[in-house]
Amino acid sequence: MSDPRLIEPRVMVVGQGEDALRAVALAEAGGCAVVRVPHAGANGDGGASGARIEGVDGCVGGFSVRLAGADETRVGVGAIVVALGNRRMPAGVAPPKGSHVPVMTPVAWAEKVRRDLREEYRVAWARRRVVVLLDHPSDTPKETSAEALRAVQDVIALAHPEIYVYYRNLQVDTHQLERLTRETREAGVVYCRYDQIELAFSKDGVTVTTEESQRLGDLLVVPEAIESPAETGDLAARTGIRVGADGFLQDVNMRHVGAGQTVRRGIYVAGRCHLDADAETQAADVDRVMGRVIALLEGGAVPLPEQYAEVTSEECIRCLTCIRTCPHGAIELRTSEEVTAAHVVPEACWGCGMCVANCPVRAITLVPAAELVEQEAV
Amino acid sequence: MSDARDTSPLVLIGCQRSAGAALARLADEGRALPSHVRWQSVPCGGTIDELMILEAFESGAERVMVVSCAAGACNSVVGDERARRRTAATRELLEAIGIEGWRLRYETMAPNMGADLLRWVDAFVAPVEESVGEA
Amino acid sequence: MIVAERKPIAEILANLRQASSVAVVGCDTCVAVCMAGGTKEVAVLSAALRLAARQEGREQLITEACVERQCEVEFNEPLAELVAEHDVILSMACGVGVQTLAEQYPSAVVYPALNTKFMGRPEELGTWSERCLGCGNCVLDKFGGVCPITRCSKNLLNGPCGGSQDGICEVDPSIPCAWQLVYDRLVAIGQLERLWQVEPPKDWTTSRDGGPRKVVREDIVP
Repeated sequence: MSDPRLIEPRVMVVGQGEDALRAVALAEAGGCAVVRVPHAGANGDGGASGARIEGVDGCVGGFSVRLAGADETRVGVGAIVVALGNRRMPAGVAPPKGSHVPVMTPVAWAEKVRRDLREEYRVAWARRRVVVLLDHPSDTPKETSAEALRAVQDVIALAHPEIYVYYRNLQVDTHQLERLTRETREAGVVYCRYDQIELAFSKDGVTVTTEESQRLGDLLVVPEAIESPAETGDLAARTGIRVGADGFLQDVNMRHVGAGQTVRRGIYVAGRCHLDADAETQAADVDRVMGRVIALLEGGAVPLPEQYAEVTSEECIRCLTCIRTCPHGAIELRTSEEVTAAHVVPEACWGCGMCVANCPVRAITLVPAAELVEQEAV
Repeated sequence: MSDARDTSPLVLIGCQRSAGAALARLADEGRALPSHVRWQSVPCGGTIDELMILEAFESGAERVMVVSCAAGACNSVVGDERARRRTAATRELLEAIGIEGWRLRYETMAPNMGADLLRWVDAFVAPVEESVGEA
Repeated sequence: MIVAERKPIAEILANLRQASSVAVVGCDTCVAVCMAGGTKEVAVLSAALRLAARQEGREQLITEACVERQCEVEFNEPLAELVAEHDVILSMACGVGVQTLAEQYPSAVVYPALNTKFMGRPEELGTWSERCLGCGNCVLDKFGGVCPITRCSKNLLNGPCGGSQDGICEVDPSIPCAWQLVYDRLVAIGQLERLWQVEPPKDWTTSRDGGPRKVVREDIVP
């Protein structure tokens, strides 16, 4: 295993969508060697094609990645960027069999109106009562909410159905949602807030009941949900990073360490796979993460944290507690001069002290690093 | 609730990112913990263990408050959960040796909650009724 | 490894109240690994005992010590002075260590701080479960490496019993049916036909039921 103080001048980009391609391009433009691993379709029970990660050994600056489905079974890289992207899923609203109420995504709806624009259809569209249903069964991400309202604008430019937008938690701080809601309201779209909602499908249409109103609609427009790709759980388990409660890959607290850094120093998440933002913001996120990675790889050495844990190897009883406790993957069993003991890799340590608290023989202490480092440097 | 303020020795053990950061901000505003409170900083909630809490009581504390980041905010992911559980285990130990469980309290906070921290310290008194417990 | 856990504090205290000095002696082998009696746990219990003495208005000297392995007399030799200077020795080792101290220092009052539970393995950090009860005649070759003596609640040698449901033992839903495990493993290694062999009733004389046991390597004893 290479000494993590010297950086392996290569970055691994995991994923195969827009974000991954952007990351690869930036790395190459920055003069870094890149290893691409799609890790597509891996969910533990086969169905994966192309290269995927089996496991990641080592620490920042000197990861040793075990691969499957690739030419090389082991690759050494200095940093890993996970850019799996996200995927669209139909929201869980389905009319019962035999109901004639169309249920469409906003994009499909706008497209249909555009295509159906012959005289008689224009009239027919004017007589429709369209229910745009947001935040059901769970909150619609801003990206697809904005998409829905843009579709509303496209439709009302071409035809004049009655449009009711039902929402529970529509936040308008980004994605131009403030402008979209204002303009559509001004154009006659009715916004209905609800806490509880019931949909009853019949041959006449769909009856939408909330605390405040009851309406009959004949077309239901439901934006897609955005979910993390199927391979997220598998990848997280194999790389030692975390999945949040929402199913997306998790940064550490962004306020303190900086966007993109996961619990495992040197492994970053970029773009859609951890961020629900508009396309511009997501691209900027990839740029920012790659900026840090390139700076790290160019730096030639991994900076030390402010303080890190150190094992007194003579006292170590090799119970493996610290290795199992460490949430950052910074501890390994190492043999040095014929003594095998737990060893904390300083560059990968976060100084949290959990290993110190758990060691049954009190063989670990926190020591200040020789040089102080900016927290944002890695 | 008694009107007299409890000024018996209190040790506040807190992680540097939550309570530590909050105290720094309070200091900028010219505010501080009362003099009967001793502040003990740890890097993370996960650093806190039974020994640290017991040693605080041994050193003369009559009350100990343990503070960490809120669930989901810990940079090391599980530090708050560890702090919560270690505190609960220590409370059981304390009760077994005759020290009332209410004397050990666990709270979570963000760095902008300095005013809350000062309030909690002031409100850290013996419960009026026996049934008031601490999670 | 041997797995033990600390006795309830009330029980420990009951034995210590009359003593004016207590030496708390831990062990850094098995009981350290299962986080019951190593250096760390000695420090925790000692702090608790000091606080208890203070709460109860008792003067009591508590001294902390820990040895590498309390079942070896050589490791316990440096304790001689400590033993002589304290009314009570509270051993945080497994039952073997407690008895070793008592044998080694016959005039010392040695009390256990732990309950020794079983021979087992860690399933994950903080959880240990029983795997071997030391029956003295290992038959793991016949059962695909799963011990029905230890892991079957009824020690059945020709299981399962009628209480096995969905791979769970009827005694407790957290106990997997050992015979389900045996079956699955024998299938996995292609030795299922071993189960056709009917096992006769177990000869328990090789186990504790035959009296306290001893192992001697004649070629090694001086």
